[in-house]
Amino acid sequence: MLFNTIPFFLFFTAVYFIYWNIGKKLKYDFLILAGAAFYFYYSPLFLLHFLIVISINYFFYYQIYNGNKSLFVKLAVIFNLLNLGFFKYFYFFTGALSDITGSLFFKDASEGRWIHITLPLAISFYSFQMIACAVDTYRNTADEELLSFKKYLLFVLFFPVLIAGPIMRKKDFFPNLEREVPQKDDVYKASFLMMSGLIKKILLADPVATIINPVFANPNEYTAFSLFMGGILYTIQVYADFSGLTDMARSVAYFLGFQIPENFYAPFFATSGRELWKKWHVTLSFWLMEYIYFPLGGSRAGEMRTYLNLIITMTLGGFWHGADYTFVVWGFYWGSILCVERYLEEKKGLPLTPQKSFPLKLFKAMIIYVLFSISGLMFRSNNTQSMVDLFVGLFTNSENYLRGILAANGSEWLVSGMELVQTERPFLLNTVKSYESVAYMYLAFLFFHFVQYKPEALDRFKKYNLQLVLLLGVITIFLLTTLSHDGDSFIYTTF
Amino acid sequence: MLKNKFLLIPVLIFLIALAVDRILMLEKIQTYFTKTVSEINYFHKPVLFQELKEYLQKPDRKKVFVYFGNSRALLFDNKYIAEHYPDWILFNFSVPGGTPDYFTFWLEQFQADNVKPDFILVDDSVEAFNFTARIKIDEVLVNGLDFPFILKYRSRYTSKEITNFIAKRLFKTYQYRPKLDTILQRLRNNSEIAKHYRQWRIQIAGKLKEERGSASSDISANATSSKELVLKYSEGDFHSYIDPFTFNENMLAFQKDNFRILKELGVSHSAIWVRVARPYFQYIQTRNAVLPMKEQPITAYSIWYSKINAAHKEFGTGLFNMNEDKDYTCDFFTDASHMSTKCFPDYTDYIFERVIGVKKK
Repeated sequence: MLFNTIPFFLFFTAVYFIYWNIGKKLKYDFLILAGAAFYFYYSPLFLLHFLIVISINYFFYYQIYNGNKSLFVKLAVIFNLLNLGFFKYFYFFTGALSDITGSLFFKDASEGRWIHITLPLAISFYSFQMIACAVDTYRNTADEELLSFKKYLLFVLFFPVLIAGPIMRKKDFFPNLEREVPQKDDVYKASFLMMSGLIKKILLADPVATIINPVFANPNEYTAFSLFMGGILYTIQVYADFSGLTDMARSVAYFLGFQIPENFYAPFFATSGRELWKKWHVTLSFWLMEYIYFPLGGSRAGEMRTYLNLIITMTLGGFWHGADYTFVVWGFYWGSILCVERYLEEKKGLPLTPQKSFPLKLFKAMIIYVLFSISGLMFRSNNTQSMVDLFVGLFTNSENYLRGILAANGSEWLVSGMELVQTERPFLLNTVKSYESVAYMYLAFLFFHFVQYKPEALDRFKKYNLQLVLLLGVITIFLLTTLSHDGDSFIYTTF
Repeated sequence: MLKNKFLLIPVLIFLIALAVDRILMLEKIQTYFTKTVSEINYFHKPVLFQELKEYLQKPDRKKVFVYFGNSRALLFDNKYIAEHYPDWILFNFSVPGGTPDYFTFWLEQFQADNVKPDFILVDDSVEAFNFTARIKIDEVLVNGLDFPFILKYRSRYTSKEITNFIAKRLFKTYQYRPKLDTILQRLRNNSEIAKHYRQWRIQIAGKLKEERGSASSDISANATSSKELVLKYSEGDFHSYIDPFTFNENMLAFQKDNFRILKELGVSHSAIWVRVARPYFQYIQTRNAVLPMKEQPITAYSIWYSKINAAHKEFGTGLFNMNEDKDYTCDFFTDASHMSTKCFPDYTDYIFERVIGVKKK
C-alpha cells in the first residue's frame, strides 16, 4: 500500500477521521492498530513475524534498560542482523559460497530451489531502528523513562515510516507524544509535503524512469553518451523518487500531528562527498556514522584506520541497500572517494571544497553530481554483469569502435555485406531521446533543491498558507490527473 | 475534529478538486478535450436493459436475441435482420472493449430480474484473456462496472486495476486527460470542431437508442482497408494485444460464471470467436507469444484454446469459431480486428443460420 495509491488514500482517509475524532487516550492504541492493519494488508504472515520480532526486541530493550546491558545489546544487534540477513542476504551469501566452493548445494540454495524467501516490507528500516533503540538505551538510560511495550510497539509500528523510513531514533519520535493539540501549521506543512512528494514521484521520477529504463534494460544497444546520460538522469530519478517518498511519509506523519526527521537537504548542492552524505538519506548516514563508523574508532584511531573505517562504513552502507555485488562496489566507491577527499584536503592541504566563490561552488557541485551519477550506474544495474556491460559500454559503445574492431580483424567485408543487406549504418546504436522534457524536469529538480536548501525563502508566503494550500492542492490534483503515467514502485521500497 | 476545523483542509481541497472535475465534465465543456465516444455505448446499456425487460413482457413480441460482444459486434443492421429473420429482434449489449466481466455484470442482473431472452451469444475473443497486453483496454472497468460488483469480485482484480477504477471514477479528468493541443484545436473557428464533435456524440446516443445498442462510434467502419494496410494493422494488433501473452485466469472465471448463469437461466446460448483479418489470425495461431515464465515458447492461440475449450466442455456451451470456419468467406476488414460493414450481412447470416439455427428468408 504505497502512499501514491488509491488503497492508501482510502486507508488514510479512514485513519485520519477516526484518529482526530477519538479521545487522546485511545489515539495511540488506534495508531498501533492502524500500523498493524497497514502491515496486514501487505502480508498477514509477515505481520505475525514482525510482531514476534518487535516482542523479542522489546525483551532485549527491557533487559538493557534494567542493567543487563552488555549481553543484551549484543543479542539485540545479532538478532536483528540475523533476521535481516536471513531474509535479505540468504541468496547472496549462498551464491557467494557457491562461487567460491563450486558446490551444487549452495548453487541450488542461491537459486531458491529449496527455499523461497520473500523480503518483508521495511525490514531494512525497522531492523536499523530497533538496533538504534537498543544501542541508545545501552549508551544512556539515565534521563529516560522505561518505555512500555505499547509505546515501543507504537514506535516501531508507526505506519508512515513503514515503507522506507526515515529511520527514526527514540528522540525523534517520543517528544511527539507530548504534543497536546493538533496544530494548524502541521496541517499546512503536511499538505505542502504531500503535494511535493506526489509531484516528485509522479511527475518527475516516473517520467524519467520511462526514458532511462530501456537504456538499463539493454545497455549494449545504446551509445556511450546515452549510457552516461542514463546515469545523469538516474540521479534525478532516484532523488525525486526517494525524496518524494520521504515527503509523503513526513506528510502522513504531520497529518497525524507527528514531526519526523527529513532525509534530504538539497544533496546535489553539496560541494564535497562528505557534505553530500550529510544531505542525502540523512537518517541512514547518521545511523552508519553513529552505529558503525564511531564504534569502529571513527577518525580517532590513526590516519590509515580512519580510511579503513570510512571504506568499511560506506561499503556496509552500500550492502544495506541490496544483496548484490553492485551495491558493495557502490559503497566501496563512495568510501574511496571520501578517503581521497580527506587525504587531499587534510593531509595535502588542497582546498577542494570552495567556501565563497559561487562559480567554483557550482563547478564542484557539478563534479559531485557527476560522481554520484557514475555511482548511479552501479546502483541501477540489474546485476553484476549488467554493471560491467554499462561501464565497458561507456568506453566502447560507438559506431566507429565496432567498425574499428571488425576492420582490425580484417573483416571489413562483413561491414560492407551488412550495409548492403541490412542498412547503411548497421552499427548505429540507440540514443536517449526526450531531452526537451528532461530539461523541464531538471528545472523542477533544481526548484525542489532550492526549497530544501533555503526553506526560509518560502516563509514570506506563510500568511497566505490557507489560500496557497487550497489553490496549489487543487492544481496538484489536476496536474497529477492529466499528466501522470503508469509508474514504477518506489526504488527504496525494495531495500 | 469539529473543534479544529483546519483539520478539514485536505477534505476541502479534495471537494474543490472534485467539483472542478465535475464542471469540466459538463457536455459543453468536455467536448473541448475528450476524444472518445465509446463510453456512450456503456451509458446506453442500462436504458437498453429496461427496454429489453419491457419488450419481453409484450405478448406479441418477436424472439429476442441478446449479444454480449465487443467492438467487433456493434455494426449490425436491424433492417437486414428484420428483412431476413423477421421473427427475431436483436438487443445488442456489445460495447467497445467488452470482456467477460462485463457480461457477468449484466447476466447477474438478467438472473436477478429473471430476464429470459430466446438466445444469448457471448464473445470469446483471445484478446480478452490476455493479462499482459501492451495496450490495456480498461473501458469495461472504468465505464461499465460499478463499485458493488468490483467489491464482490475484488479478488479477481489486481490492486492496480482497483486503483485505476476508483481514480478514474473519482476524477474524470484522469480518465480523459485534457491536452492543451486538443483544446486549442477545438476552440478554432468559433469552436467549429467542438460543435461537430458534440453533434456526433448526440447522433451516436440517438442511434444507439434507435438501433437497440448497435451503432458504431468509428467513422471509418464502412471503409475496407487494402491487404497491405491490414497486414500492417495485424502486426500492430499482435504486438499490442497478444504479445506477450499471459492467460488471464480471472477472466476465465468470469466466463465460467457466464456459462453457469446462462445454464441456470435456461436460455439457449453459445459463445463465439468473431472473425479477424487473416494475417492477424495467422499471427495469433502460429507466432510464439513471449512468455517470460515458461521455458518453452508457445502460441497465445494454443493456451487460449485449451483453456477455453475445457471451460466449454465443463458447461456444455458451444463455441463457434468463425476464424477456422471454412464455409465463412467474407474477408473485408477496416483494420486487423474489425470487419467492414460489407461483411455484416454474412456475419449476421452466420450467427442466425449457424449459431442460432434459423433459416434465412
